[in-house]
Amino acid sequence: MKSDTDQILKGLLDTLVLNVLIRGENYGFGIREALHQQLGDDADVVKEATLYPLLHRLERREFLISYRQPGERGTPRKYYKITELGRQYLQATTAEWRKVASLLERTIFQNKD
Amino acid sequence: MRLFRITRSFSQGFPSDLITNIPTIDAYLHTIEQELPGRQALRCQLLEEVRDHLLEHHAQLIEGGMDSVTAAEQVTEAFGDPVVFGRSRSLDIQWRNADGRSKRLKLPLHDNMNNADLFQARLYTSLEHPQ
Repeated sequence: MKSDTDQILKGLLDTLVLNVLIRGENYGFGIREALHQQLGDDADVVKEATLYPLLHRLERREFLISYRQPGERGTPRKYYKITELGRQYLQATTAEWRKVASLLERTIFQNKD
Repeated sequence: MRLFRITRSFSQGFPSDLITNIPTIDAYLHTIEQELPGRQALRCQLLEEVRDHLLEHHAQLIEGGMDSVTAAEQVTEAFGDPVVFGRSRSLDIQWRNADGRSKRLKLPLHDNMNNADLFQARLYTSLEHPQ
């Protein structure tokens, strides 16, 4: 059952990552921490091996731009910032997820047992 | 046999400015580097990001009371198989190589640029910084 939940959450990850970045630019580990806070017990679905390929894919699709500036240790840190295209995509996917949530509310969640 | 391994044998070894002096993390980064094709400057960009993540996570665990060796083992384990990760990143490297430059920065990348040059150039290129 846990793996089914993981699959659903993985489908949501693009939206979740963009949703973190709409609150402000952030770097890889910072994004992971923000997601872990939001997801609580389901945080395991955000593995590093998933997060970085996902960030790079969103960057290739021009939903994100990146830039480097020194982090706390003085070494270069890569920050990601959402683009206008990314905002539009987030808006569209959020609307889609709302539709799904509404559909579930009107159907399966109506079951008493 | 991956073809880039032939040319890699003539190039410099693991970039010294990426060394963390934490043996487990250095070995992990080295394994990823071995799997990455493309120019050294591009490989360094990716490795820098992974190194930053590992060091940040490592520092967090140490702050929580863990010893350095155990923390290093835990952060590398959490990041997953370095060979699989390195191979999965080939696509990103190839994308950046496609027109011989970093797409979003319009910044020419040369094999002989070291990390410091690249970082400085990136810091001061107006096209680069979003502000």
